[in-house]
Amino acid sequence: MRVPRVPLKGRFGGRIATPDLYRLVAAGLVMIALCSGIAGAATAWHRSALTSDITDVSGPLSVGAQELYRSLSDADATATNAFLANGVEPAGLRTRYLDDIARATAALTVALRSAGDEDAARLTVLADQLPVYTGLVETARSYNRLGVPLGGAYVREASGLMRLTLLPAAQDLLESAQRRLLDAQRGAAGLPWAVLLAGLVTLASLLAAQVLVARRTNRVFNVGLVVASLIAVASPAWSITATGVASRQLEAGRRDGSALVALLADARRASLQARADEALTLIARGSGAGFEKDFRAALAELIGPDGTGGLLGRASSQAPTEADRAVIEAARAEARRWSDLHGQVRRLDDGGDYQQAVRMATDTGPQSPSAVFGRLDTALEAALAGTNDRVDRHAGHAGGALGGLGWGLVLITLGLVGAVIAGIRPRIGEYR
Amino acid sequence: MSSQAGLRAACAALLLLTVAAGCGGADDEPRVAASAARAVVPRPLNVEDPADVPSAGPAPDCVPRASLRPAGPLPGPGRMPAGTAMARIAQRGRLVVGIDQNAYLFSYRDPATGDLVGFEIDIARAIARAMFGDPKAIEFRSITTADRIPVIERGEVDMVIRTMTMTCERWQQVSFSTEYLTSHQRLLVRRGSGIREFAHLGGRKVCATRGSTSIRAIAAQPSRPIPVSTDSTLDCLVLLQQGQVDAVSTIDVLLAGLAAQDPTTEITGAAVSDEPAGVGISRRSPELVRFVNGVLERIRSDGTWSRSYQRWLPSLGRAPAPPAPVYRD
Repeated sequence: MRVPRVPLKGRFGGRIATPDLYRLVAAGLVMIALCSGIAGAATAWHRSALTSDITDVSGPLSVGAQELYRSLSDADATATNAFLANGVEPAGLRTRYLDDIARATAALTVALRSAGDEDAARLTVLADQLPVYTGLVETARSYNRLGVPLGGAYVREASGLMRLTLLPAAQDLLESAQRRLLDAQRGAAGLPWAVLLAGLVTLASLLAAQVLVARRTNRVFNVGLVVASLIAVASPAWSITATGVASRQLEAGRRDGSALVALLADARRASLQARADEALTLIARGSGAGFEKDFRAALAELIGPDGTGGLLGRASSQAPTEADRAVIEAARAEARRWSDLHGQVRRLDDGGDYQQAVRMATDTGPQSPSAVFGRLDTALEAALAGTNDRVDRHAGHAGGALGGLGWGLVLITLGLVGAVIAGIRPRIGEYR
Repeated sequence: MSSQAGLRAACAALLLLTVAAGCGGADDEPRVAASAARAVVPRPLNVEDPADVPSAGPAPDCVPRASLRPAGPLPGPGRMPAGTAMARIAQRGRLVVGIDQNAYLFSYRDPATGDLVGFEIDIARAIARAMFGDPKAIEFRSITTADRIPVIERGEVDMVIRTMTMTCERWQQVSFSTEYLTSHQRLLVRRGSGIREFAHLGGRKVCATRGSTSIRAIAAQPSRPIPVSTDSTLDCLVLLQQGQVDAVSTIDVLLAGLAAQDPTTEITGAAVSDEPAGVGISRRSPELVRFVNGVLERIRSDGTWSRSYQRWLPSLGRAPAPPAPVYRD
């Protein structure tokens, strides 16, 4: 058999014998295929892990942090309002407060399970101070029942602890959970450039190897290498299709879900803050100008200075479906009504009729500020629940699209390696 | 070429990579030992510890109790002389009075009814009755100790009735009615604490309100206690109950209001000051000062003062005679 000379120089300057060359080519192809396979599978598994993080950890963490903030803030507003009511606090307010604390504790327990280091520090503050807060509220109740003003001092101390320590920690937790969710969504979306590049390199080296083998053996096709090339085309094609579908899902989850959740959660925070400010304005009795300013600022944040913009305005224009928009618009209408009612309470108080102002503020009829705020809160809750679900649903779809890709790429790589070896081994055998 | 070995190596690498990516090595983080955790005691809002106590400004010598003499008999309700502060108030339809809503027995919000009641509220109502014939024609503004003089100077209230001590320094900024209550600064401590005098409080924390004469007196004690200031005397009781201060020091009548809310505390120590309380009124309205002094003359003589004292302050002992008015002209 004619042994063609290779136009290649060996490492030591001599020409390389053909069987050694084949061995080198095979080894090179196997290495490249393995690298490419590892890159592809690792990317697939990483993205898959990120999407399950959204459905299993960061999504629920974000929902839990929202619930935690809402419960704490509502507990504060409710305890403050209960104090404003004369005599023993109304049973409805007491139940609402206790439910808020129960929900906050439950959300705290869930959050502690999945928190990272930074969040754990925030959660420690909350776990540490929440019992202290409830202790102060109960002390306030006892003194209130004794008919002495000391109860009011404890209410103020409790509210200060909530507003200056607990709520900021809950707010940080909420923001951190939102960031984690957005990071996961961003990390799992986008074109996987490394995988694409590795696939192209694999394909190019396979083609080069075929040209080389064809020249040496005078056979146009090496079946093993051709099969390997076909596999090498299929692998990035699958990766790109699957990650493309996943990316579109996650992007939709971010745009129609998380971004809207952030707006709505912020809107809820502003409305709860305004609710507490409203009670504090009356409790301060004539020296609540600072709280009134805070109330106006929170409401302006919520619906804009003229009632048409603000967080709810933005949320409404970003809402992806008519149903969402309808719920948000309902919330906006209630917020505007609340603003009007609050104006009436202020006019009564500023006009010297404090008792009437308190009666109006603590009234529980269907057109009272309490009821209007209740409907606003319910609407925001419904909008948030729907939007949180959407984040979860899109992440689930993304996870489905990525499902099996990792192990599929491992199998493909094994097949590719097998085909390369099957294609080149007989050629080496010819030289024995 | 052992491609099988290479493959095995690659698979192992792959496996390692996924393990590393999936788990992130969260298990070996150091955990804070639960036994190291310590309670953080909460505080009322706006506590200054140690308090920044401004030194007393130079004040001319004066008789702090001396006020302006009433101008003849009181005008009847609804017949206020034209052009006076009283006529402007009558025009508005209600008297605006700066008060405390946390001073038990003096002026506090009754949790059962939401109404403001107490000895000082009775005085405010007597003034409204004289002006309008209606003791309810009042708008109360709750203010902090430190805000008493500023709200008078800015004209936000017609008068302040909030255990305001008459001093020569304050006479420079506002006017006072005649004295409606005499008191002395003393101490409130936890029963069994062993603290009897300021001498026992060297280096320990003693609470009073910001902007009060009491906080200055604490800072001036030779035993050098640490002054802690709050917005309200009631917040001092919260701090005492929570073990964050060792004593509260302010006028004995206010301390009696605190002690009545917590039987585990007691009033002790010698009186360290003489504190006449008067109604604070703007310097621009001497006619209003004379009018209020007329009302005070009336309630001293017709028994209203004594009845109110007996109703709210029986814990201070049998009602003394009302403080005798002192006039400067």
